[in-house]
Amino acid sequence: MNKITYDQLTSRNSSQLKGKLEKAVIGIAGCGGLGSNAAIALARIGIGKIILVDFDVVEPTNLNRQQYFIDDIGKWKVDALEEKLKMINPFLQIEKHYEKINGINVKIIFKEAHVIVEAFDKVSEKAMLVKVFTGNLFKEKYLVTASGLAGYSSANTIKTKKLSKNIFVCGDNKTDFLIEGVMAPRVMIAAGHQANKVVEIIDKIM
Amino acid sequence: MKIFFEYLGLLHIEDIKNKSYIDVESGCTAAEMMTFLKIRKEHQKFISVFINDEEKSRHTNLKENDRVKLFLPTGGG
Repeated sequence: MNKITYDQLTSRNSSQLKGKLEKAVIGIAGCGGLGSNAAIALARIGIGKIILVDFDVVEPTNLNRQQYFIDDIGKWKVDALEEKLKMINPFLQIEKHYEKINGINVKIIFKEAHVIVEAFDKVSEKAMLVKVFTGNLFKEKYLVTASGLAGYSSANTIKTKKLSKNIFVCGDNKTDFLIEGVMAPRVMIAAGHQANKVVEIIDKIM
Repeated sequence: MKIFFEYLGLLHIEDIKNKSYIDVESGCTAAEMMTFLKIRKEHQKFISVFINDEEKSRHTNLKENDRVKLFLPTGGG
């Protein structure tokens, strides 16, 4: 593998972010379509540390939207994603958790994170993570959640909205995967919104 | 009393325009407001409540001119 420097990796980044991204710790809650795409975007721009959390393995049905390859099938998602991230950014620190997040372990897993990217499939899990913030457990942290990225209706309906001072939601807030299916284009757009909001937050707080 | 009401997500609320002022019983809680709006119980348990841009318990009493936002996530990721 060619040797690169951190400065080379980040030389095309916006200059005002210099010195900020490498100090940031980002939690990725779920390494599926949203999580794998958001993590790759963040690794590319030189985020310092990513905490990956997922309890699942890669399946053939994941390949239509998640950043995995046929050779990854059967691997833990956190392991397969770690490989990809390290191939892009060898300077990235990665912490892995092979477990399902709940209202109790979330405090420990994301203790170090400045921003958490919610990247679950299920409504109940998405709601749980928002409620963790509602309970003031994470007053100093930020959550970037996603809601409404299914189907193939206009990409322009996917927006980033502020829910509170430290919670943002990306998506159209309407489309549901159980009704419309879920595919790479809109999932990647929503994950891009999430990653971009993370950068905005890091620029503001670092 | 009047509050400003907004919702995000697949909520089916009859006769209520999203992002509008609505009349609710004075001093009611956010949970009581959801019942008044006939929001289904199976949805209520997944809804987060934001009052004046702050995340709040559903048992918070509402005040005149509060800006109340309900967020029900949709699935997919």
